[in-house]
Amino acid sequence: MTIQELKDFFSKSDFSEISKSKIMSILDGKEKLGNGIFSQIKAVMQEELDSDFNDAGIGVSSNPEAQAAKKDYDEKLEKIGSELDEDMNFLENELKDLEEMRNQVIKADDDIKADKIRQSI
Amino acid sequence: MKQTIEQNKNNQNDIEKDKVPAESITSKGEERYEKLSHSLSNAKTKVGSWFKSGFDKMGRLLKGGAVAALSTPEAAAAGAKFVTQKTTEGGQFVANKVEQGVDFIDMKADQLDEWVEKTYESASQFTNEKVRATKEFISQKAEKVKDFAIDKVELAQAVASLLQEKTAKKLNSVKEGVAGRWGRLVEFGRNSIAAAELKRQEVKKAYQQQMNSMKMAILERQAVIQQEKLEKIKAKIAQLQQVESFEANAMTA
Repeated sequence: MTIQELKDFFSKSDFSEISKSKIMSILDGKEKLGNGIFSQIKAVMQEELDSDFNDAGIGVSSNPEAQAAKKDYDEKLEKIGSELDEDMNFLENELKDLEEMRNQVIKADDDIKADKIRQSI
Repeated sequence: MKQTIEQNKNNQNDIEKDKVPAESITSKGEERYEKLSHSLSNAKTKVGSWFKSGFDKMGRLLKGGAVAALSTPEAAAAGAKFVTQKTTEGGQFVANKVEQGVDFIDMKADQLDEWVEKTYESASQFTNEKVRATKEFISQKAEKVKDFAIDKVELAQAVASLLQEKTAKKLNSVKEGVAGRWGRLVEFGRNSIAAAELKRQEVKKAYQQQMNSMKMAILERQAVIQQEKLEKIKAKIAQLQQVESFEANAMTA
């Protein structure tokens, strides 16, 4: 699929002119389709769908099944966030330890160079 | 009639609560990214000065500026001699090393600048190859953390050995070890952010699909009175699914 084919698809789609215009501006100037472009486009589409459901008076948050899905979603996001936190803490600690080693090596480097100078006397 | 009004009120409340969930992981990711950028920015300074502290001293020696700083008159004399002989083999060796060190610093700093600028942005830009690599990273993360621990012990031993026997050969090997570890840690950070973003996208997609299905089911039950809206939303959901299949095709192309 090319950018132009995707533009053609949307021009014939059922989405509003506002959404189409947002999607066209996402696609304008792009040379290659990638996940980032699709994510932005899907967000625009979902925004309009949410608005359509709202207009139709469809809400589900008091539905136990939807509440369970939301809870599950929040928990999964929380877990992903915690894992990322752990990884970043790990990284920071490792960089700190590496810095200590670096300082020791610099000291040895200085000593070796000083020794070389002494030997060149 | 009273019941219908009550039901409408409930629906309105539900709609308010149905707002698309906040991108909490994104904001968290951004916070983490900020923190990481700061940490790496410090690391950049540290790595940037990796050769610099040693070579700057040597550079000043070459220029004669720091000769007086040498601790003994003999050493100072030696420094002066060294300066005058900088075109000799020994002098050339140090001059070359200064140059190499500066090249190394520039290269690392450029790479890191680019990494800091692009990492978070690129974490949400997945090619098929990147999805595969990120999934592989997720499955092997525990193993990688273990490897880091083993590497650290080995590097610490190498540093200890260098401190005992201060030879140029050991020094170069340990420097390579530290630079290599730094590179692997930076790569680990990049992969961690990509992994979190990939997982977030997958979780969000599944959640939105589930919510759309639930809402469609309700709308279908009201089909008689909302037929037109139902058809329109059905068409849009089918088009959203088509875009998802375009995306999948683009990723495998």
